[in-house]
Amino acid sequence: MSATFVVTKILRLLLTVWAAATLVFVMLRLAGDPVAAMVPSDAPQFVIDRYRERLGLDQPLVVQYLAYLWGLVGGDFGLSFRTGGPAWDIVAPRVVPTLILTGSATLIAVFVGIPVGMVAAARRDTVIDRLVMSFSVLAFAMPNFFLGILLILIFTLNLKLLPSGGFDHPVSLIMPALTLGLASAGAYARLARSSMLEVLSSPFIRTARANGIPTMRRLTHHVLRAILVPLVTLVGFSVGSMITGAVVTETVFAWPGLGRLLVVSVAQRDLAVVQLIVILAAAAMAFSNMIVDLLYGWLDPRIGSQRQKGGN
Amino acid sequence: MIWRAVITMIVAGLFAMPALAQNNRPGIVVAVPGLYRSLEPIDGNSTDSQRIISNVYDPIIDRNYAEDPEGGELREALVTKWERVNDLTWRFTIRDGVKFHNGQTMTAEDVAFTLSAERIWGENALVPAGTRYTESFARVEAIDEKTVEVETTIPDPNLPYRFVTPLGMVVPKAHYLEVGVEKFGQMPIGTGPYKVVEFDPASHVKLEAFDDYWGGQPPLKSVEFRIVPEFSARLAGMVSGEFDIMVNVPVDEIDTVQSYDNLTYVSRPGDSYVMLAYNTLQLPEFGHNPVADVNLRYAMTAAIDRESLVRSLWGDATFAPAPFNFPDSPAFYDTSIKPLIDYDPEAAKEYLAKSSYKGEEVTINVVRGAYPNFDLAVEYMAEQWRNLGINIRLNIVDSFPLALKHPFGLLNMSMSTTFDGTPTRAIWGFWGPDSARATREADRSWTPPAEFVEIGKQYLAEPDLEKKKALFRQMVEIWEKEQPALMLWRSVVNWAVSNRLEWTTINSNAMLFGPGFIKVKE
Repeated sequence: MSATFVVTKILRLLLTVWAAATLVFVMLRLAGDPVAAMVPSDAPQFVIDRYRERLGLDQPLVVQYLAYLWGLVGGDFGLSFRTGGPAWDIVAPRVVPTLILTGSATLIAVFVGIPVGMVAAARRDTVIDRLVMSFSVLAFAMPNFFLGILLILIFTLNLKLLPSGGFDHPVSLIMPALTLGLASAGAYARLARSSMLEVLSSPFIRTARANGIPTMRRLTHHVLRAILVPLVTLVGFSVGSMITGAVVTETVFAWPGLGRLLVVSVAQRDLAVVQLIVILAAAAMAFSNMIVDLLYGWLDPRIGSQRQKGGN
Repeated sequence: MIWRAVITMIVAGLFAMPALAQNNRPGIVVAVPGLYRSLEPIDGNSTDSQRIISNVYDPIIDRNYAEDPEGGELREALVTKWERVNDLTWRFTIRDGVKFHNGQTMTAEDVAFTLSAERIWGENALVPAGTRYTESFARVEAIDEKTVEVETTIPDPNLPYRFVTPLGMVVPKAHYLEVGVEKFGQMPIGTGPYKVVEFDPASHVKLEAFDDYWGGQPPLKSVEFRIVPEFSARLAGMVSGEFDIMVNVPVDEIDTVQSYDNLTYVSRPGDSYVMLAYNTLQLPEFGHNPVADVNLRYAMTAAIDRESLVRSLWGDATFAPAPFNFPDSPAFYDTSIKPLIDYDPEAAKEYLAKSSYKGEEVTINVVRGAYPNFDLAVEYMAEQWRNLGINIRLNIVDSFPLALKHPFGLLNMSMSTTFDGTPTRAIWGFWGPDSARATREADRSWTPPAEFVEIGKQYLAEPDLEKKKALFRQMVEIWEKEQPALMLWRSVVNWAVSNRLEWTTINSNAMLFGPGFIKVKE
């Protein structure tokens, strides 16, 4: 892995973050006057003007944009309209709850989805295979909010086993993590099954079987490694969809994470906070894709050498 | 010696008992759909914050909710006496021994600052949104340690009523200036029965009993307002006992709530009126506006059977008022008054024929879920207007900044009547020459006629109630002739309450948990 390769990746990451930062800056200002969300709907024009002045929103858009970019370069993400303090101070405490939620959901997705998909492939065209595939389609297709409310109705309303939401107790994590994780588990199961079927019919597995390598060893040492490339790609993509999925899940379960903060901050037009969350989400997405790219080289050295030959 | 030790222990135990009782007070959790960005009384004034701030601050003068859910009478709160010194000047004597949550004693300086030009109505004021309450203020001054004087530019016999509003919620001057409005709104200090210990506008507010409260011991150890945006999750938490009160029961879910033995459904009239504002202005920069034709507005109003609409949506929980004829300003309320333009399908056709309307598109801007049941009502009305032959386009959006902008023919609107015993806030605050409807660049929708403004000024200055009422009726008459809005119903506030609570609700969004208002059954 050459230094040029890593530097190119990092430059791409920075470009993605800049594009996201610019897009969110423009979109927020196109979607109505931020001050209109901050003052009562019966506030007269002079009140609006005073707030606009105080928040610097009376400056030309270009001036605001340049000040914003200059701040970003220096690590200044701007001041929250709500608190008057740095946006980072509001966003930072939300990062951990979101990481706990998306991390748990990813673990559920990986450790439920992949083994289940592999079992389905190993038992191809049996009842087990059909059941697994039906459930994975259902989990993948079911909207987050629907599954979330369904779980609340079952485990809180009827069985009275779990709290309806919040962040007070470790058990509060169960339902949101399941809601977010099961949808991805369905996708992982389908991909694991199809990749494994493809690998199982490939010549090197047939050779391994002919050489008398035991089934379990074949699965763990040869098949699993071969199907990891597409699965790692999916994990990389799903980091992004997890963060967007978390917006809905965090709202349903009143989970105090970044997604919930994003919804509230958009409604309140707390521009600096919205911008920072979008930048973080874009950076997380770009970073995970960069890691996936780097992992390709480790999982399948042929990919890395081809890229380097191609100058990438 | 042994006896002395025993007696000492008993005496110590007796002294410890109240403390023990305080610690044994229960806490409650209230599930709310959202929280506002600030808990500063003026800057944070919103439906979401109104639920909370009456527990954190006390007003200078209070409404007597203990004896009347409408709070029609005034009673002492942070001032114990008020008197009119002359036509323009009022004098207020502050209560002794009132403590702020930070331990400081409230002074006349704090009260004067709360109402001051520096905070609200002067140049570069800290919270200019409060000018809606300080119209005609000329001077606010602490004339000694116990007395505050307020002088107005025109006589205002109803001045004390303004201090029951968020304007009257007293803040500690030194701390407020030290931390600034925004930070104060995140961790406010008041004199109310509960102090804020945690506030995260994206998740919860936690209040704890303030045992130095001048009004007696708060009955709850803590109150947590927790955001639970989904109704299903709020209901599930109520049924499982996780929450004690939930705010906002959708009308089609009232039966579900009532089907649970451990819950009680409570509904009350609120302190605002919802409506659709007509855009009466022809603003060339936004294209032709057919609703600027008054005959089209008459036709649209006459096409709607508001009484049936309100009954089918709300049952008898609320009603469709004649414009500005509101029971919450009792001296100005007259049950015999009918609207100038009432439901009359035939008249609607005639008005339409008289108008210059030629089938142009009429856009209705509505914020989704802005007020309970409003979306349904708008869809019903849109159908009625389409049947009449009006080309309606519903522009339903997700936030106020998207709705509050031209071009539009109609716009959702809520008019709060903020209690002052008169309809001034409604007729003048919302429709006067300085109102949002008349001044806002992005969404202004009418210009009050010169006659309306002239009579309005006389109305404001008139001290005699009968003459004031007559002037008010003249203003309403002009307003109805112009027909700048279609008034729909008085808002409704509702809750599901756990049966373990005995809670006195009032006709407002405010949820009072101070002494005398709530008890947890053993």
